[in-house]
Amino acid sequence: MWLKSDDVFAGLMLPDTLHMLPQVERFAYAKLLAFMTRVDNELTVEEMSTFEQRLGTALLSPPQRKEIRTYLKNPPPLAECLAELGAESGRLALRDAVMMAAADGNVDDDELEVLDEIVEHLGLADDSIERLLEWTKKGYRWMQSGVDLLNELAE
Amino acid sequence: MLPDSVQLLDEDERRKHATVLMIIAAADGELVREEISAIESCMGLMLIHPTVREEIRQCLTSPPELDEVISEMETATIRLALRDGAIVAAADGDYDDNELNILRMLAKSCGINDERLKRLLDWVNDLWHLCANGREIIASPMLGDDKLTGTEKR
Repeated sequence: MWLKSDDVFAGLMLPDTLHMLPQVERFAYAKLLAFMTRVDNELTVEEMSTFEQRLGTALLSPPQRKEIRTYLKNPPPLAECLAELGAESGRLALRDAVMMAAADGNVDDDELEVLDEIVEHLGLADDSIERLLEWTKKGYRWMQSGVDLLNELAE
Repeated sequence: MLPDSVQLLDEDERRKHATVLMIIAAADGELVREEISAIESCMGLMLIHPTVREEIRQCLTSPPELDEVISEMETATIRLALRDGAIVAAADGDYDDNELNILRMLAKSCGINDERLKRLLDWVNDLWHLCANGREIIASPMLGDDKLTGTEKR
């Protein structure tokens, strides 16, 4: 099958572990992301789109998604969000919170402050946010390269 | 900002795009959690209304004919569906022959040849490397990540 790359995914499934977590942890993960959307008091289409994308990846049930969306209007306290997260869901929530904070093209001071609190809560390395922001930039470059590729293919 | 254009499609085009993803997921006769997660992720990214998502999910049990769906799609939407369909098809760890046939049909219908399709599949491959690197940063590796980390192409 010549179309395939030589090292197709090393035989690995969808490169995410979020959907494998227990439902209660996925809910806690989504709750933290809902909190993140409101930190800068603005909810852009890009943030909303990233938020909904992550809810979809998490495979929350439609009623759970409905409940999570209510947090967009009335965000829960950060301490409550953090208390409900497990170790794994917490790390994934941090990764995706960074991604969401960057979705509108700018991570402001309030968002950085919250991200710092999450890192501290999880006991991760001090440079985690910096590295995740770099990783997010790479991700956006990857997405842009996909758009560029489609445009190029269209020529 | 988030570099994507699927949110810019009108509601009907987004519905057709997601329907194509459903057809791809159903193509190999097996539906794994990873494929569903990839499709739900894409429907979320496109900001498809929850009630419309319910309707689209029904396609999994009785998927419509691909040529009927794409005959009513705009070329730009087919290309986006091809891109996202390649990710859905890869979500179970490999491209099945039926999935590849559908990707080829989509590619052909929007003027993309096999050589160019391969470049798109290579682009999908990069996602696996990128995600492994993300998991490395948060110390949350998956089995097999060691084959992918530090080997990304970009």
